[in-house]
Amino acid sequence: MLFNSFEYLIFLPIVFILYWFVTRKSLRLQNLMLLASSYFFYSCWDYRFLFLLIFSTLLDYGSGLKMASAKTAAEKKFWFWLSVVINVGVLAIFKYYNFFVESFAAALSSVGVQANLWTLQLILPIGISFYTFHGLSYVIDIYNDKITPEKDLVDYSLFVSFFPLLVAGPIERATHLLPQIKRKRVFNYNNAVDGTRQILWGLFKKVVIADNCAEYVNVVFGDSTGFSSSAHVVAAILFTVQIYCDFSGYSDIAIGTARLFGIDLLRNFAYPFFSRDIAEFWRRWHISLTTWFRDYLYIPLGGSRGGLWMKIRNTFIIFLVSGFWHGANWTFIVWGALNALYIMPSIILKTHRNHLDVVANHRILPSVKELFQMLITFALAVFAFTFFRAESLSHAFSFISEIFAATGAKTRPIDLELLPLLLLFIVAEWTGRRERHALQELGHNWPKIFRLLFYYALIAIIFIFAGSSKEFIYFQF
Amino acid sequence: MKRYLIKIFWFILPLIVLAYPLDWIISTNLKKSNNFFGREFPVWNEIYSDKTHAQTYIYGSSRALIHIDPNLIADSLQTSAFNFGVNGHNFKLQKLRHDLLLRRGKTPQMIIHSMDIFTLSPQTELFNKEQFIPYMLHDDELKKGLVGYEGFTAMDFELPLIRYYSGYHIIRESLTQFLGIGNNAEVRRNGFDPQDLEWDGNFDQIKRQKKMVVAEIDPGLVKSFKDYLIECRKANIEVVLVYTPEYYEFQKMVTNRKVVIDLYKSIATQNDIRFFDYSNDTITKSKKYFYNATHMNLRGAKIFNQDLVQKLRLATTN
Repeated sequence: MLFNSFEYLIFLPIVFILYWFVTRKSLRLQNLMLLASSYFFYSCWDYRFLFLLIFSTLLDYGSGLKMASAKTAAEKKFWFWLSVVINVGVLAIFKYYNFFVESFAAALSSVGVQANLWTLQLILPIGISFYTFHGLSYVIDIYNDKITPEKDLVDYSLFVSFFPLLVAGPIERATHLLPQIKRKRVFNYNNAVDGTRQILWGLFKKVVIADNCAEYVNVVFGDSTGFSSSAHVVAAILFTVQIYCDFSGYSDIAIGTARLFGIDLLRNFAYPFFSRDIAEFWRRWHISLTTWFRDYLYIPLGGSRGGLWMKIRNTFIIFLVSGFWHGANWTFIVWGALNALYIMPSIILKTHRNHLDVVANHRILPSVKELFQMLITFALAVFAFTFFRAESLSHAFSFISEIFAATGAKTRPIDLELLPLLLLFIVAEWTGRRERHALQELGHNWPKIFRLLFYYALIAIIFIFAGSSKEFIYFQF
Repeated sequence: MKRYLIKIFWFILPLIVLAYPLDWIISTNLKKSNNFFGREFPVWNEIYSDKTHAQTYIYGSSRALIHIDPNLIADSLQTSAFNFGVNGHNFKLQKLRHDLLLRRGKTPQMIIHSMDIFTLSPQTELFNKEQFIPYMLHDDELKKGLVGYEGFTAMDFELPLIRYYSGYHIIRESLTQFLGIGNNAEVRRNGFDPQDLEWDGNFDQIKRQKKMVVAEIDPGLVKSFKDYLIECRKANIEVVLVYTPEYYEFQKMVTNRKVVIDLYKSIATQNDIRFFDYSNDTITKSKKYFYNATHMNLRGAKIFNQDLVQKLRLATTN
């Protein structure tokens, strides 16, 4: 079930009431109930892949225990690599098998060899990239002696399958989430109220901004040779807005939901469009994934130790792998590579940690320089996201060439009602840029009646202006 | 915890309390719209109104509402007439309108039923679903009639405002009507919606592709149609079937056209009702009378209606 569906509107209060009223007195019962709810939530997508989720859970749970009880380093290594190989193997088969086969066949074909290779008709299990990475981080942390294995299967299963983060993250760490699962949760009024606000803002971003941008984007990307240059530019910009609002909206709903249950999830976005350079952008975009790659790939590869060339190499590897994580298509790899190229100058010049604070932190408006920096960074992101959105490399190149020399002449004006909505979104995000989410402090100084009216207006906007329902983009990853 | 739940309760309560009045306001004003959503609201209003009903009804799809002039029929036959043709729908929805009318005691004396090549073909798409929205809340008849179509869920019929979700254009039209702004001139006079257009050329492009069409026949719909004719006879309603003109070259593209027309003829014969088949009429040979392959323009409709009225007059006399 989607977060923005009527079914979720029924599901969430039921789980909430069961959690805080029926199972409150027993932590075990509470966790069991949450786990059952999470499995039910996942089954609503496709019950067949519940078995895969449970298999992955049991694999990592068992491997963790085996590593801890291993008598030799070799035995420990065996269990570690068994878990990693199977986890990555399952992900590779479902997600990448056809890509490798087709790419291999294309490569053979380019040298005149025709190969009839067998591809699989596989449905990608929803959330597989996310829960696989949950499990991998757990196993890696145990191997590196950062944590001890979790003995309670229910608690561990809940760590992997907690429904708010199950299908599209944030990608949690055992060190952060497991302790919360294992201790008694106390209802916190302020946390719950703010979590509700965060859910509301997430819904606005997803169903109003993202889904309405998608109407325009899908038309132009679907017929890229028929539209004018300006239409292509607008589509590229709107896609960048769409993917941010879609994914950060989902994350806000996930995090807000978790807060209703007294659980704090990792932050996933920190207003990346207000970044002054690409390095800052990547500190603010899909934070749970980028930090995962930093901790489990970049640092083990040597990180920044070993000189500038190693740093450059490792950075490239991270971005290429990150691109590849998103999907089995060369477009994602190019997207990753582009971002790696973007960040290289700042690494070489050692300016990649220049902007660690919030832009215009003690001011209302940015300076001209900051505005210019944000616009340039945004433009770079827009260009790279064109590859992200395109169906193939040729589609991406065709789309980009149409920006500069359009063969089509169809224009497509933006729906006028989208403009004030975009303005509301930008203003709210800008005023809330210091907070966890845009509504956290918004209107705190207003009279209560104005605050109430604002929330009612937001709900009315969501109700009236919701775009035609689309799945969250990151579900496909 | 209690404080949170109480806060949520008091926050949501006004939304729940206002849901029904808001739904009523939006629906009432939306129904006033003459021009939006296929211009079907005036027809639905006629069905649901308490007004005295017409004596002659016209049923069918877009080829009914665009081709058959109830005003000319009323003037020529000294009767009253209303065109209940519904764009984009087969017999199932035409029958729904018929049932709704009869359940409200609006039994006509005559029904002129326009038949198309797809009248008895299956259809799951709820074309122009917005036309039902202001009438749906707690309407069990409408709910039952729309079973089998993809478009609405049970909640849309039972809970206020749900069907208006994501309905900016619908709500905007309702607001427009509430404020009395914008052009709301009545276009469909007694349901008739003629098109003063010239040939648009789309058919010529399709012809070049040489694609053929097969009209699937739904046995369930055929039975339903036969039952409907029997019910009409029992209720003393005279039914006349009409196959209005369509451009002759389009006729050649329907591979099983003869099967369909023969079916209509045999149903008419079995039920002893008239079937006016304009398939070979001279009007079908000229693009001048059509704006596309299956719809006559105003010029063509005028000529057709004069002929139809003559036939009806003769039939009435005999």
